[in-house]
Formats: sequence, structure tokens, C-alpha cells
Amino acid sequence: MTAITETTSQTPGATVWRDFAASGVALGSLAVFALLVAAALLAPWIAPQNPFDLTQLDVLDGRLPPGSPGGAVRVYWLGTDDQGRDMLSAMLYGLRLSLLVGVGSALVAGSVGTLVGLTAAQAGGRIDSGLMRVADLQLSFPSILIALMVIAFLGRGIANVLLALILVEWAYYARAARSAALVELKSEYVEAARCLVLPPHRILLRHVLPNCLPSLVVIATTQVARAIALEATLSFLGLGVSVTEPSLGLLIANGRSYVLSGETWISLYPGVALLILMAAINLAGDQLRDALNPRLGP
Amino acid sequence: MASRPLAIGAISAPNSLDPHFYQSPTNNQTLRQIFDPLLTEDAEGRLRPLLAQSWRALDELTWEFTLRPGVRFHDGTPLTPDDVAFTIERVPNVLNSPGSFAPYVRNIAAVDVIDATRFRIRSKTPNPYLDRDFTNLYILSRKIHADAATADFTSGKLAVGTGAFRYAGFTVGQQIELDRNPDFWGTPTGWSRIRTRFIPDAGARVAGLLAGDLDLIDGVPVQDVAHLAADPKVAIFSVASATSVYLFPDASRDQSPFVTDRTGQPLDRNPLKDPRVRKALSLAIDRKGIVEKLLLGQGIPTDQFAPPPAPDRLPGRPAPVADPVRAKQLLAEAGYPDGFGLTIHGPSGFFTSDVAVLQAVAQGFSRIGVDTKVETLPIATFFSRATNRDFALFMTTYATTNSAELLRQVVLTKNPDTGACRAVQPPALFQPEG
Repeated sequence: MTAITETTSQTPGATVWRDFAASGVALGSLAVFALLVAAALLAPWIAPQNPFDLTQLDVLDGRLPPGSPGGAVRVYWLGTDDQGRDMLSAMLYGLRLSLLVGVGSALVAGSVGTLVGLTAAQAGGRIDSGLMRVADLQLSFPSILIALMVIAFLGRGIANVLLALILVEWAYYARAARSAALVELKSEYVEAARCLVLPPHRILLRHVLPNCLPSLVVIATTQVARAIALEATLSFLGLGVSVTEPSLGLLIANGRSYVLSGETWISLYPGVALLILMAAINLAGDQLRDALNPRLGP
Repeated sequence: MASRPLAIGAISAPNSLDPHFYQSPTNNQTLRQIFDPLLTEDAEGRLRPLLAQSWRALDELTWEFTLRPGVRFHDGTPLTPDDVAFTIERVPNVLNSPGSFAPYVRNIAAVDVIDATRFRIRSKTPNPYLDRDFTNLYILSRKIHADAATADFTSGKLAVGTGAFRYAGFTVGQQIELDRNPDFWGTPTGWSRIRTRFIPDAGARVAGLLAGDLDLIDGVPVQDVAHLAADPKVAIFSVASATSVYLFPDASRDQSPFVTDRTGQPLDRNPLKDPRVRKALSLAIDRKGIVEKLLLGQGIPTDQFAPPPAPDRLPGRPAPVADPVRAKQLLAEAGYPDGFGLTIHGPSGFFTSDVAVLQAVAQGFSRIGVDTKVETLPIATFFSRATNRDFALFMTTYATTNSAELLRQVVLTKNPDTGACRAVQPPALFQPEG
């Protein structure tokens, strides 16, 4: 009896957290993700070198193996790349770019996509089919193709990569928001709100949107990971960020040509970092999806 | 043991088998197996006879060539002086050429056939390099190729030349197969069949060589030279190439894109116009460091624009040594004590370690106070934008054994507005070994 009272007295947030924390793997992943975010945010203070400042690099320190003593940086713990960048610093700064791109694009694309989805659900008819056909058209193209076209047209650089990712991602949010909103718009509380003659935008944003959020949050976790992977792919192909300000994907691409000659650390460590980041986000996102799913709950 | 074809892995693929379609080293070296020019250059850049066994200038405008007797095309058609006349006629009429051979024949007024092997070429104005202009021009037959379109060569139908090998199959961007020409006019080769696969990825080429799938590769990545040389099954051949890597500054315009002050605001004048600034930038580059660390010794710091194989090279000149202190002084003298901002451009995937080299150049510039950004572009967009003068300073290469050709093409550039030629002094970086 007490257990039931406890459950019912808990806020929805606490319920979700309890379900989420039931998985040790998910908790661990969240901790790893938090650690990586902290490392990325603190990069300017904890990195031994600013790898984006060309005056701090020396090509004569290029391709040193991990643990080599250095000049300005005391020890290159993870070695250097061909430009003489300290790999540890380069990875911390690269992580910043990857997270900025991943989270930034998810926020903007999520807002735009949700707004489009809600509008379509509310308006119905021609506006609905028009907006959704645009989204369908976009979803029928492979993401990498759209991103490549945008970059080819606008040129490389962090802002253009962000724009490309937003253009790729918004349709996923739009479709999810529309279908969730269509279900909600038929429920009794919306009927009640309509009887009070509340303006449509108030019904949508204050009543429908909060109830659509759980599914959108789950989509966001997978989209952040997808965006990071897509940015890494673009950079790996030489179409992403600037070569003097490498992200994780570009660091991997730079090191690739040195793998056969034995200088594996240039590619390996950024690759491992990217792997850990992706795995952490995906595992945590998985558990979050289960925790938010009422059918799986107690 | 059944003989298998010689398997070659090549870095870049020809875009056509029409020998007059695209003037590029890749097309020329592939098609050289099927077709022959009148003359050729040896490794030291000296002219050697090929289809022409002798040649001389009679006066300033007239050159007499004598064809090698008994040369036949792959289908048995004999080579005649009229075929040279046909080749010169055909070159400007090749459609949609991305890089035409027309500059080589534009100055030719007429070809006079004297007898079965001799002919004279008359030029409109004196051209002391007329013989050298015939080292890249492959000779076709009027009888075979009179109505040949570029597609007829690429399909293999009319890929008929006088060369040591015959066409046996070609897939654009994939591979070309060649069979030995048993009736070749020169010394026949030892290979009955050659299969060249085009593999742009350096790692894949090296892996193919080590696995035994490939017998020969070009464009060996510099970082793999050491461990390949240590492999008893692999031999590495290198020669100082005729290619110079150089930086091209926008030294003529008063305003240049991609040059700003250190805060990103436009400048009222173009600093690259000042020779002291260009000298400072040149002194900021650690050529020795680039060659040693990025090219692992597979290159030579440039001391002049003429590459080592050029016969008219000046011997014994010291390579410029990086001197950031003097470079900063020069910048201050030119009125930029705090430097300025600059974005430099270069191609990616054009020559070995190109992106890495451009970044190392940017490091040097940054160290003397020129806040430098690097942008690299795929070859397709890079060269059209460079030709369009979109850049303030860009890196590219020029390959020739003829120093005068470099002066003609690079140092003397024509002003499209006034038609006047002016000399710019691009700081050369290094000559890679290839």
C-alpha cells in the first residue's frame, strides 16, 4: 500500500529518473557523457596547448609518439599529429566542436521541427500535407547527400556544417511532433481547453507541447549522436570544419594516412574518443526511451 | 607458370583516351603507352628523337623535321608527314576540352610536306621552343582519325596509335588494360599485358603492393617510404621531379580578398603588393622543416624556380633559410609592425601531403604576426576559383623542365584588363621527388 502511495506522490520527473537509474549501464554512460562534456567545456583551461593557435604549433614537433617530451608542452602524453599538435589538446578541442555541432544542431533543428510539426497538426488540410510532403521529400534523401550538397554550395566551416545538420535533422522532429500532437489534439483536456476558447497557439504550446516532449526528447538523444557522426563523416571527407581547427572526425582523417607506417596514435585516440562519446549518448538515450515509455513502466 | 599481366596501381585516372582532350600529366602519361609524340624529354630534360628522328630550325620561322621511316599505326596504316599536319589541324577543334593543347599549335602558320618523311613547320612569330612544344602532342592519323570524336577514343574504337602498347580495355576512373604491340617501331617491351588500376587512396595502393595484388605503384606516400624500402620484396625508385610547389600572391591589385587587419577589418591597401611583405612571408617559411618533417626528405627546398632536371638551372644557389626575426623587421618596414590577417588557399589531394604543407606555411606566417587561416578545396573548385582570382595567396605546382615555360606561364602573367604582362615573384617552396 505504501509503495503505491509513494509512486503516485512522485513527480513525473522523479519517476523517469528512477526508471532511468534502474540500469547501471545507463547511469555509467550518463556519467561518461557528463565527464566528456565537462572536459570539453574546460578545454581552454585543462589542455596543455591551444591546438587552434598556429603560433603554438611547430611542425618540427610533428608525429612524435605518445609520451615524448616536448618544448612548450612538457610531455605529449598522446603524441602529436603531423603539424605538431598535441593530440590530447587537439582531442579536447575537437570534442568541443563535436559537442557544439551535435547539441547545437539538435536544439535548433528540434525547435524548428517541433514548431513545423505542431503547426501542421493544428492546421490540417493543405498546410499539413504541404509541410509533411516537404519533410517526406527531405527524408527520402540520404542525410549525407543533403549535407554534402549544402557544404558544396556554401563552403566548409563550422557555421555551414551546423546549417547543413539542421537542414538534415528538422524533418525527423517535424514528423514526430506532428504525430504526437495529432493524438493529443483528440484528447479530452484539449477539448476542455477549446471550450474555454483559449487561443490555438496557447493550446498548442501550453497544453499539447508538454505532452509531446517525451518522444521528442528521445529523438533528440539519437539525433545528437547522429549529428556528431555526420559532422565527423563530413570532416573525414575533407568537407567539414577548417583544417587548422580540426574536430574529432578531421583528426581521424589526418591520421589515416599514417596508419600503415606505424604512427597509429594520430588516428587511434580521436577514434576511441569518438567511439566512447557515441556509445555513451546512445546507451543513455536508449534507457531514457524505455524510462519515458508508459507501456514499459510499472 | 602462366604469365599474369603486370599490375600497376596509379594515383590518378585519365578522364579520356583522346590524346588531344586534356593537357594534364595524368592523361599524357597514360596515353603515352598507346600514342607517340614527335620528340620526348629524357630525365635530365634534354630533347630526344621519337617519331621524328631528326629536326632543325632553318630560320627564325621555319623548322624541318624528318620522320622515322617505317612507323605504322596499330592497324597497319603507315605514318606520313600529312598525319602531323592533321594533328595540328585537329587540336583546336577538340570539343569541351578542360585543358586544351591549342597553345602549342596556335602559332603555327602551315605545315609543308616535302617528301615521304620530311616536312617543314612554319610559325607565325619566332618560337625558340617550337621543338619542345612537340613533346606532349601525340600524333594521330588522318586516314584513321579524320572524323574521330573524343568518345571514339574512350570507347576504344579509335584508340589506335603508334605506341608500344595497344588498347585492350578501359573503364573510366577504374582501370585500363593494354597489350604489347608486336609491330612496335622501337624496342619491344617485356610485358605482354599491362593492367593499370586507378587507386586514389594512398593507403589502398600501398596495401595492394604489400599484398602482391599490385606489382608497381606511383605516388608512394612519404611516410611509407622507410618501411617499404626496408622490405626486401619492394624496391623504391625516386628522381627529382620537374614539379615546383609555389605560392602565388595577389601582388597586382590594390584590394585583395582574404586580406584584412588583425581584427578582420578590410585594409585600405593590399599588403601583398609590397615586395617587402612578400619577402617577409617567404622568410617566414621553414622550407627545410617542411621537407624534413612533412615530406620526410622526399623533396628539395627550392633555391630557384627551375627544378633540378632543368638544363638551364643555375648551379650552387643556397636555399632560403627561415628567418622570422628578419621577416618581422621587413613587415615593420612595410608598415605592418603588428602583422595583418590572411586566409591562404590550396588544393587537397593534388600532391603528396599538400594540406599538411599549407598548414605548415600558415604556422610560419602566424609566427611573424600574420594571423593566417587555411582553406583547402577539392581540385575541381580550387583551380577554377584560383583562375578567377578569388584568392589572396594560394599554393599550387608547376611541372616543366623548361625554365622559360615557367617564366611564360607563371612569373609573367597577363593582365586581362590592359593586356600588359607583369612579373610577380612567387616564393617557391620545394621540389618534391616523384
